[in-house]
Amino acid sequence: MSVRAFRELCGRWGIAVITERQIRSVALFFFFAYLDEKAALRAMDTTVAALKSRLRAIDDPSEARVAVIEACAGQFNRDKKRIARGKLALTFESGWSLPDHFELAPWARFHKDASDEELLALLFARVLGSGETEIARALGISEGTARYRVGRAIRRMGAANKLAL
Amino acid sequence: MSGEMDVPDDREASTSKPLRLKRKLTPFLCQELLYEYAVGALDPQRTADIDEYLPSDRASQDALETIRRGLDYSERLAASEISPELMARLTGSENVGSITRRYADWYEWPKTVRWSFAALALSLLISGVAAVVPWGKLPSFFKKADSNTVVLVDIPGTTVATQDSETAKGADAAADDEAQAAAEMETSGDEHITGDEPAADLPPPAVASRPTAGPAVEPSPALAATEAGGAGSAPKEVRPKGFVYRAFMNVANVGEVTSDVVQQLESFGGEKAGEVPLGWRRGAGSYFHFTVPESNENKTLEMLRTYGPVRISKDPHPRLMPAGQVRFILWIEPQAGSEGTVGGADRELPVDSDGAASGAAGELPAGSDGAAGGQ
Repeated sequence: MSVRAFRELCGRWGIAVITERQIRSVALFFFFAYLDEKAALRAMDTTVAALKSRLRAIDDPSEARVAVIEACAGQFNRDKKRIARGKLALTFESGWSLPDHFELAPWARFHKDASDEELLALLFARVLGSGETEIARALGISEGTARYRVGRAIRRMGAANKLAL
Repeated sequence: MSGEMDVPDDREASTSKPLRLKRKLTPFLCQELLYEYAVGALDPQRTADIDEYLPSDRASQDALETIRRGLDYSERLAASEISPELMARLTGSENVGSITRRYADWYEWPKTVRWSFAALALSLLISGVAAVVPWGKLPSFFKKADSNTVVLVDIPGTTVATQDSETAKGADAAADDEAQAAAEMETSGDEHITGDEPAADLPPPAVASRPTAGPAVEPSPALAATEAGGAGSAPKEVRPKGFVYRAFMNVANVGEVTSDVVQQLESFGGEKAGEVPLGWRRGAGSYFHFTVPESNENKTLEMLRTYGPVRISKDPHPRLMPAGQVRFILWIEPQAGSEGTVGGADRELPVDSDGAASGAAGELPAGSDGAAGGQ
């Protein structure tokens, strides 16, 4: 049985076809984008459920990454008015952890100062590990624009980290 | 976004068109290329140019340091982990929308499951319809209500209905309606008499049509229906409970026999049961409607036989008599060929040895019933 046939069969019977890597990417995206654990959990539940349905028909890994970016960006845009920028509401009780000796203060500063485009570009490029081509396709922009946004976000991130130090 | 321009892909340009001339870097251009320099996205020529330019520009060095700091932080950010519990929760996460979408998409179901559900739903629908529809009452839904029929009284055990005058007229000739008409006539206690001219001693019709107030006569459902429906009404169906003897005789001398019969009936304890007196003369005949004690029933019959053959029948009747009482309706007519013969009673009913005639032996002739067809 081919992978396509297997995925199709799984899709017909409602079996999840989302990978652990994709779930992890979605979870970290919402934790860092929202900085509010409860809101992030609600958003990731919704997004993962939607992705399960959407990924049934997608066989190409690159297309799947585009679908993940689109789903995350769509959910963020729906919730962004309710996101309090720069305010941490994280308890880490839901089961996620930061690396050792990792400070969230630079991220909180960046979260407050950066634009939506910079925030999304940085998270997609550096946390989800997506390429500029996929980001550009998902967001409907050119690759150069995507690279520009990521570079600008990295500069702002570095500046926020320098200030935090 | 304001202030954001569509940046061309520098890598593609550099690979498709190799630069032959050395491009001189400015501080602005160098800082704009620093991110791609830091991530190694520049072509070797540009990378060498920046390597050559950077030591001479402090601002570019600081910018590169900021970019590397940002890259390092974001790299550590991506090293965050989620627990297996959270992973398992998200793996099985469903929401109402996804569940609904997944199960509501009919065409996503396998064909076998789809057809099975369709067959099951169809079976349930047919079963439900068969169970709910009142098949027994279905014909009444399509039957057009008869506008000429009015139900006056709905008495349990009896069904009484009135018919319009046309129906009553049309039913005159029918045998069933003769019996009904006879029953109706007896509601007054006397049989109705038809004739061209009323008898001189006939009580007023209004009085004769009223029910007898005596103890032997009780209002019956048929009577109630008749009174309520007025003229032209007839009981549709009456369940008989009591009985009445109907007797008919042909004698040569009606007057003498009548007076003798009256005397003997009175000696047997007989009493008139209707409005008219015993031996009431009607034309050439005599009419007797009377009750006698049950103990004298045989004596009465034997007495009647002494005057000639008696045609008698015991007919069911809705009116119940008090215990120990029997009711007779007797007609005495002149013999055939005599003047003034009223009815054509040319049939003789068999009489049992004990004098009690069987109700199944036959019906009285129409003329003997007081010309019931004349109603």
